Amino acid sequence: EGRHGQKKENPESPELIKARQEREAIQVREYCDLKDSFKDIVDSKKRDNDSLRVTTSLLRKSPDYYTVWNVRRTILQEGFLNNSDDETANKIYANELEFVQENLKLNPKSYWMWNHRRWCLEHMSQPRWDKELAMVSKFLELDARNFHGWDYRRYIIRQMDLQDKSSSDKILDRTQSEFDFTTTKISQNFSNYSAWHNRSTLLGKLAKNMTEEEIEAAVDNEFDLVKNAIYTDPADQSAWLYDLWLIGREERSISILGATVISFDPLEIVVAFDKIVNVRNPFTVTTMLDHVATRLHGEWKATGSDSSRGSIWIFQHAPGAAYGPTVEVVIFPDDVCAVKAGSKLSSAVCFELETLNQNFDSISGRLERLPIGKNLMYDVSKRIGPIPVPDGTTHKPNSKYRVTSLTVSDSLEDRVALLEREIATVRELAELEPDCKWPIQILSMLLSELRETVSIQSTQAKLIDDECIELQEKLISIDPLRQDRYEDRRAQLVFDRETLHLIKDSKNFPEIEFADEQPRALDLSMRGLTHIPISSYLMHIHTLNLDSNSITSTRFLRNLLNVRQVNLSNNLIERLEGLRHAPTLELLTLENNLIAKWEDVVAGFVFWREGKLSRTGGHLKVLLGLNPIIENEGGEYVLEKRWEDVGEVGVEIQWKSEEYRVTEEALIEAEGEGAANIHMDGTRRISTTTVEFDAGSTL
Amino acid sequence: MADIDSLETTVFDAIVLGTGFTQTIVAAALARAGKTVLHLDENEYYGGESGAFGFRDLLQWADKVAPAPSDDALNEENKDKIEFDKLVARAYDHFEIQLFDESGSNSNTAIDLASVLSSHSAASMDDRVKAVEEHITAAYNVKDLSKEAKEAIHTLASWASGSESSLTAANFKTVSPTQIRTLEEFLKATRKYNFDLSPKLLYSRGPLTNLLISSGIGKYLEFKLLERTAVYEALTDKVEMMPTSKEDVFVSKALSLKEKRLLMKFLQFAVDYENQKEVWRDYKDAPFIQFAQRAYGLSDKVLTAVVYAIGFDGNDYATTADGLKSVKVYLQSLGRYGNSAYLCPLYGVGSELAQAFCRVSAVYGGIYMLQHGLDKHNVDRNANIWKSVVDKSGQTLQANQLICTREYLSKDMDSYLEARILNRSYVSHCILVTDRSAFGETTLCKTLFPMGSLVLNPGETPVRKNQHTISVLQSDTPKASAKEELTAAIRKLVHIPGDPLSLKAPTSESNIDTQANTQAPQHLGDSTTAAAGEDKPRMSLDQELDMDQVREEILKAEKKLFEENENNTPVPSRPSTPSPKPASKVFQKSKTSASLSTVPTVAPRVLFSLFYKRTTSWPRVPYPVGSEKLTPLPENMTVLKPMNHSLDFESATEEARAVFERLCPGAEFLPPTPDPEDGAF
Repeated sequence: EGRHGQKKENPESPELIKARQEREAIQVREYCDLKDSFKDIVDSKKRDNDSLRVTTSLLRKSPDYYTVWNVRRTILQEGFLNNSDDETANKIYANELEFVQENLKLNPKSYWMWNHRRWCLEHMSQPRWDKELAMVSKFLELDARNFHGWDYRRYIIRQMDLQDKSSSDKILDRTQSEFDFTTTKISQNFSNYSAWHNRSTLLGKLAKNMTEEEIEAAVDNEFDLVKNAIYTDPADQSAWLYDLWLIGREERSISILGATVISFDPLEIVVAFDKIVNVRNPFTVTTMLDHVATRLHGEWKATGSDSSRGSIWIFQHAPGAAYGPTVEVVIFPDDVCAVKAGSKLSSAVCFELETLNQNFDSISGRLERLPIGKNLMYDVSKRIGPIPVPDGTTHKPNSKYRVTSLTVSDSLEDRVALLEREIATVRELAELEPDCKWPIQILSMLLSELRETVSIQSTQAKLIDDECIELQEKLISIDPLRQDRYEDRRAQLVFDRETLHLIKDSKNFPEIEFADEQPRALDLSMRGLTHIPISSYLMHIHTLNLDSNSITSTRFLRNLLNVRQVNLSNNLIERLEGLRHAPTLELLTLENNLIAKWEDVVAGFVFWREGKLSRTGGHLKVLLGLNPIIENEGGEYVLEKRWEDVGEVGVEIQWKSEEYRVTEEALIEAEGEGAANIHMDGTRRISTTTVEFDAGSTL
Repeated sequence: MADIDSLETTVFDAIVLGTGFTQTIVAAALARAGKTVLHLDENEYYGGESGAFGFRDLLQWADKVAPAPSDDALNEENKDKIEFDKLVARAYDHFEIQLFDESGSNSNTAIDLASVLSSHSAASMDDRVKAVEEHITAAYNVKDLSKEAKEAIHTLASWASGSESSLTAANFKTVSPTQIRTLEEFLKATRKYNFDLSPKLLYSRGPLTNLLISSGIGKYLEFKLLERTAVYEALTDKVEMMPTSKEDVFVSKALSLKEKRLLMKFLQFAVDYENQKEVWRDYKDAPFIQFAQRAYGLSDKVLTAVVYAIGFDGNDYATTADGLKSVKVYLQSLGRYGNSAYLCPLYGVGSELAQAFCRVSAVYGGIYMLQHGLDKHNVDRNANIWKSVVDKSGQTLQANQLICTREYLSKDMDSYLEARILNRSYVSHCILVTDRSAFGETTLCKTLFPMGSLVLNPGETPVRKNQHTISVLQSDTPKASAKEELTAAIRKLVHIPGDPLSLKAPTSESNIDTQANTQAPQHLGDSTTAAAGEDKPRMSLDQELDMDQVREEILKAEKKLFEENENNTPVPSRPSTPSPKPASKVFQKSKTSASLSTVPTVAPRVLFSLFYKRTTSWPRVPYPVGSEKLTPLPENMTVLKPMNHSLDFESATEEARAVFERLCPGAEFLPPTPDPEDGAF
């Protein structure tokens, strides 16, 4: 207890200060002596009483000195326990337990002490777990939020359960009493992550022995408890987390939007998912060669710099290798898993891709002609082996819907009813507490959850989207510290809303596919977007207008397999990225952004060109007017030209791959001066309004 | 304790008369500041009007102060006389004792005293009592009466023999064997309880507690925590447990989710109310309840919790500024020593605190003499200076300063003060002993009956309601449980063992029969004309108190709390038991939930009651605390206020501080006692 703001009567006299310093000096000396003795023990490997005493004294002063604990155990094992009978050993362990407990009182958050305790108990012939439980209960009385205590408690319970593994009744009773213990702790102070967490796991265990009615009653009880906590203190995160856990998340299955061939030599196949996924097993690609089904070998890679995760995956076969008139891609449920929430494909899917007509004018033209996925999706979930017969249907293998984290139902309506009830409660709280971020955040999450249960093109879905966007805006204003996070979420929501018309509800809801009519242009200008989510939905877009947003990255371009023109003027972009998989891109407008270095532009081109895989020529024009690059590093005449000429300032590159490669490598080696050098070496003409950057003169 | 003959000197810096709470703080502070202090008390116990007694001592105390003192006219002869006993007795009146009588007065077993009383109406008091005593003993007809049984019969006889005007006498026109037995048991268990004359509580983080800690005086004391606060709700006609902490709000089943939110929101505001003046500025002088209702839209239920359970300090006319201040100190106090904002000394309230301060004073050289009769004051009237006090042995004791309460004034001084009292104010007390707790296992519990909540004449018009808020403090004595090993973690100030509040020497339960061992001393305090002394001009201050009404109010509260107790809400015991809706109910059909301890099905009965009224009258002007004195009183003496109606000690603590600062300008008020480790002590 301090002196509570009362000013001290007399400042400490010099004598008192001196006396204190002397006392402290003695303590320091003692500690150093102990440490020296300890070193001797380590060196001499002495295992006697004296060395044990040194560790005792040292640990009293410095319980977190874990080496001493380790040495102490060695001393005990080699010097005392190795030739002692059971009784003596137990005495030694009991002594150790007492020593630890005494120190734990002073320092209840030391890992090493709890570990030492476990070591003793695990080596004793008859550890008294019940005593341990009582001990840890007392510690949790002193500090109900000490996670060491909770962790140790779970450990003890595990040990006790192990001893009673033949008696499920005993284990159940214990689980129940542990559950009741969390109730007690939560009643005393519900701001306790450990208690809520423990409760959730215990409840799950208890539920296994309950009837459906009992589970439902238990869940109601939990909702009641957590609602009371939330209404009492809406700013307490621990209760909200439990609430979210209780509501649970429906594991949504992954939908495949479509598959198509994008190159015939080498054979390249694209598969588009509606979520970002990991591929666990490469999808099987087979073709009929000489009336024999032959598996094609190649590599599946996601678009983007991290080729192990993405929503668009590309298969590349060896150049020049043969394949038949049709190619089949089979994807089994276990092959993919969503990066978030771990959801899976609901059934195996087979695509039959036509490869007979190879008469493409250009890459993009081909994409237009091949209707992606449509009429080519087959459900082979029940008939793996023989080539599947197309019947145009898929079915949900599991007909149960999640209602809460512990309950399921045959009807989706139950989930909807639960969500609507929860939303109403949180909405009321959000109205009462307009300045508290938690109710708003949870409301937004619950609404998104509800949106998953309704048809994605429905009016209700649109209303939900609008409300969620509004909620993000509210969050930005009341919690500016986390503004970026809310803005990203908002961008995702706006993007989802604006791209909704690109997909349609499938008759096998919640499966989705591309809409029949794919528009070619999408205008998302002035939407306040901070980023464009990595999404497959834009696969068919030719012209994308993103003028006047707050976008900081062009990475999303990697999923625009068919894009020609992107307007990113008046954004916050610093470098060119994601061009590797935008081979069809022709015009990229980046006026009034934050690009300051030529390297950041050139690197983007390199990837773009690599993305073309030396197949064909191309022409990309990037407009860079009003970027710092023009003013800072662009070289004096570029700057001059910009003012003299009307219209666009930028770089136009035309290239022929082989020739350009040489130039480019040379440039990149030039390091810091590279930017300027690119100009000098690669530019034929810097005199007109457009800076042309022509690497290879003609084909 | 010093012996007057052993005094090395009879001249002191200060003489303090009376060991009431406020004086003892002043005495301790003076001694701590290096002044020589002589501290005298006419009583043989510490605490003065905040004293605490066992049962027998309580009866004796009542016996002593109950009779109305004769009042001699002021004359040259007696003007300097100190008539302590008289002035104490004057401060109390309306004594009334009742004893539970199972049989009722019409029963055959009742012993009628009318004939013996009338036949001895002319006899002396002693003879009358003796005759009645013999009459009762004969009628009681029990062989081998215990010492206490005889004492009980004697006590009953003396009550019955009281004067015509005695309210107690009217209650004992007959006595029953039940009454004799009850009284006998009480006398046997006399040391089992402490009855506080002015029960109060400490805020865990209020000025007094902070002072106890900073000065180191808390080391001398042991406390327990107030467990519950209940308020009578007129709407439901129930005494309901109030949510008074975040955890209570969380587990409360009485409040809707929305009410919980609004309540918490209001409390969050109150913690910071000083920085949010704009919210309450317009309500500053308006009643607190009005602000809470209008500015925060609190429902009636929540209002009751905020205004009474949390923010009530004894004043029915609290302004918004008063109320918010109380709520804030309450909230700051929560959680310091557990889930409660109030501390209560383990063995009696005022007397324990007073003794602790006396101890500090003694450590710093203060000299203490209890049971020290005083004769008169010597005053230099020309210079208007108090010179000395003369004790009954004729010893003259001099000091530069005199600090005392009104009971120690000379006739002359007292008359001066009396003439300046414009408005009378009183606190009515009622000490009850019941056969069981009104709140299940809850032992220390506060209950309030808000002003205007009790209908005194149900079904009649015009409706009469209680005009004052009635506060009840229950301090029960449950089974003495083993001390919790780990409570030692709560260091220094609070040691919260399982021992009950009033159990001075824990007796084993088997000594006493079942009825007695669940007895629960209750204290009903009715802060009548609470505002009078407090410079609050709202009441019509001069009207004579309607004592019948006050008694009726307290009786009604008593009924609601005890006889009609089955209406009251179940009391979830706490804090170690889970939420009111334990999940185990759901999971284990076979196991009964032990988490709810409901009110016993049998309503508690009142076994004994002692009613009395204490004056708290004080001149309204001009006596601002500490800054100025009542001029015609000698300049070097300080008369401290009587203990007021407040439920806490804060105003008394502030008064002591102000007095000290006036007497010793610039000196620090009770600085920390040095740490022995630093070698200076």
